[in-house]
Amino acid sequence: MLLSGFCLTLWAWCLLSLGLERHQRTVLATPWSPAQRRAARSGGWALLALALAIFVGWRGWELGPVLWASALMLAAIAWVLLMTLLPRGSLAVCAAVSLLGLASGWLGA
Amino acid sequence: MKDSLIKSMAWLHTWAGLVVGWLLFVIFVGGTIACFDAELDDWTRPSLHGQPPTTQTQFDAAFALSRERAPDAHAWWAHVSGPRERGIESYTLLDDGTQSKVVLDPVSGEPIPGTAGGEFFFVLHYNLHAGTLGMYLVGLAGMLMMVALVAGVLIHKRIFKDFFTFRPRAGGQRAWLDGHNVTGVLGLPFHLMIAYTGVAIFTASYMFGGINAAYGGDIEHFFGEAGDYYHRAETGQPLRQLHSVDALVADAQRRMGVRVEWAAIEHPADSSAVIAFGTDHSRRVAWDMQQVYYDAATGAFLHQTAPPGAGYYTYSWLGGLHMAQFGGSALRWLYFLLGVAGCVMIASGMQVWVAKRAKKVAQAGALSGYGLVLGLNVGVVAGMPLASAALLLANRLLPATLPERAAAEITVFCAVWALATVWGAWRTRQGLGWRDLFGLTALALFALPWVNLATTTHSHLLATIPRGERSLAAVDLSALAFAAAFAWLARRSAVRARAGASQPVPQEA
Amino acid sequence: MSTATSANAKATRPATPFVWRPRVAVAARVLAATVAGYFFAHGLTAFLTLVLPFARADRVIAASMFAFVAWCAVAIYAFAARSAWRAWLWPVLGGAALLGVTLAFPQFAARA
Repeated sequence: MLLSGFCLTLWAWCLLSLGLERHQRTVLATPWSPAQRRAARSGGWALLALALAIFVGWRGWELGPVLWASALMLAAIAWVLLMTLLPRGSLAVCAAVSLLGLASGWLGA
Repeated sequence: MKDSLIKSMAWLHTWAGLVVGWLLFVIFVGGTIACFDAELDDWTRPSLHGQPPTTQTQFDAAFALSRERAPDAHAWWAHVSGPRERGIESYTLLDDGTQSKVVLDPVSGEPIPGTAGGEFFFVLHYNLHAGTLGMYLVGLAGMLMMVALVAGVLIHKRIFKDFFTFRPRAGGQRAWLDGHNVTGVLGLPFHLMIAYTGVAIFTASYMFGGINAAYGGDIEHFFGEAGDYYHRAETGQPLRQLHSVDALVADAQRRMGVRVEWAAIEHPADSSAVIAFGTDHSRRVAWDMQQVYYDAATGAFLHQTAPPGAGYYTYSWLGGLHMAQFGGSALRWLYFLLGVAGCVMIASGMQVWVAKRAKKVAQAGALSGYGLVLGLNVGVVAGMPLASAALLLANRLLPATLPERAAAEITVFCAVWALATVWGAWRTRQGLGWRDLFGLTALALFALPWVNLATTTHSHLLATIPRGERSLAAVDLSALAFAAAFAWLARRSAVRARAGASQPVPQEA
Repeated sequence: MSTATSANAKATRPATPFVWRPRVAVAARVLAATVAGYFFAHGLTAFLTLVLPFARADRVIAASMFAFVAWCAVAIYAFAARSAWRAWLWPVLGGAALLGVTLAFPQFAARA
């Protein structure tokens, strides 16, 4: 569950940064229009909210926000490192981590 | 002060950060490792591994031993064998403040070989092993950290534009500043929370205006009213018999509604002696400070603390948020990683200072203010991890029958740190200080699982993984992971040293 | 880089004399942040203990814990203020006023 929540926040930061022109150009080959970037930013905010809902649903209102905030900060740092060190490959890594999260959740880890 | 707010805040951030940077780094490393203090306590007691777990309390055995060691103590207390550490920790506190600790086997009730354990890092974190003075130093460092954080936010003009920006290949000051900003900004909620809650835990030792106004300075009265704790005055008569403490555990658990985690006897030699029981803080964010009290001679129930008021509950919540005893191992790992980010923030901040003044630093030579900064940087940032690894190695290598074994492990820690600082400072002149110390740390951490294998039967990876003992195995596996990380750091330092050596740098006259 | 050229320039200029006034001003602000700041926090703790609408222990806890935030803010102000004189004046005046008001109502401050 922690891994799934972490993955959600990771995708959230990914989308939020793709909404900024400077980072979008590093990660993706084809440039996006301002409308697409706005959509990415909205998607990012939505995922952040969804992640909060999942953490609160999992561990309640006292522990959920603490876990959410912690995962948020670590995912942000992880995304920055990923985007910096592997610009073109960062989306692929996010996808791989998410699959890992799904698999581990499914296996009941 | 300077022409603008930004400039004065930049000055404040730089100097508040530099003055307290090394101390803060030590506090942060200690605190980060202390996320797993109970797990490390358990790991450092290999004589207890491989036994089936027990939930039987051993308070009577523990207090019998305490009576032998300190019959006239101010208090004795002991913990239970718990899910995170199986040894039974038994303490005595004398009237002059001297504290002593013995750890007992949970099955036999006998003392086991002493160790500094994970608790060493926890105590280092909150008082630098320097008593009350150390506690005040740590509190001051926390206040300076809060000031540095606020000033840092005020000067970061492009805080949103540069939110995701990290340019390590730019090299030099730019790369260090980006790293400092990334760990600082992205971890800002954690850093602010940790700094404030850390300081707030010490509230009663710092802020007296309210205690003076409301209680006339009577701090004991304040504690009693806040926590509804029970005290009774000494009678001067000796205690004739001590009621079995273990026999009262069931009643205490029934009254509290949660499991008993510790028991204490106050004034155990006096007929006024009181047995107190308390619980652990793993169920909620806020500390669970409830206690129940019994007469030590008859076992008669005396008092149960009332539920906390809003103020005390808030204090317990903020303190609990800092201490990460809640939320299971998931939360502890998150705090651990955020703590590492904090260590990176502090170390990279000091590197920014050095990189910004690279020319002056190179010209100044070893015996100067700049030389001192360089030496302390290497000695503290690279020396402390090495000393920590050495302590864990010493735990496995020192003979079990060594008297004062815990003190011996701590001596190894201090000696390695001191030697590392001297070596690092000397080798910095050739630009090899970082490489040497990071490399040694990588070696020491890599060696840990092997030394574990060679010196124990039930505690190494080949035994703990098949038994499913995740916490024990995690220590060895984490050592390997950090060994790889330090090896990478050592290699980067070597590369940078070679690159630096090939450029013309003004030599000392 | 500009740091390098200015450092080189400084290396060729004669050493600057040790100038007192700016260093005294900085020292004054540092003391304002620590001493005057602590005094203000002390006075604020006392005043909040007087006025907050909670039970006695809760008032003291809330006031004392908030005081750290106030101390931090005063420390920032000590370096943002237009002069070292102001950095001292406002926290000391403020702290004295808050403490003075509290001392004027001892029974109310100590109410359960």
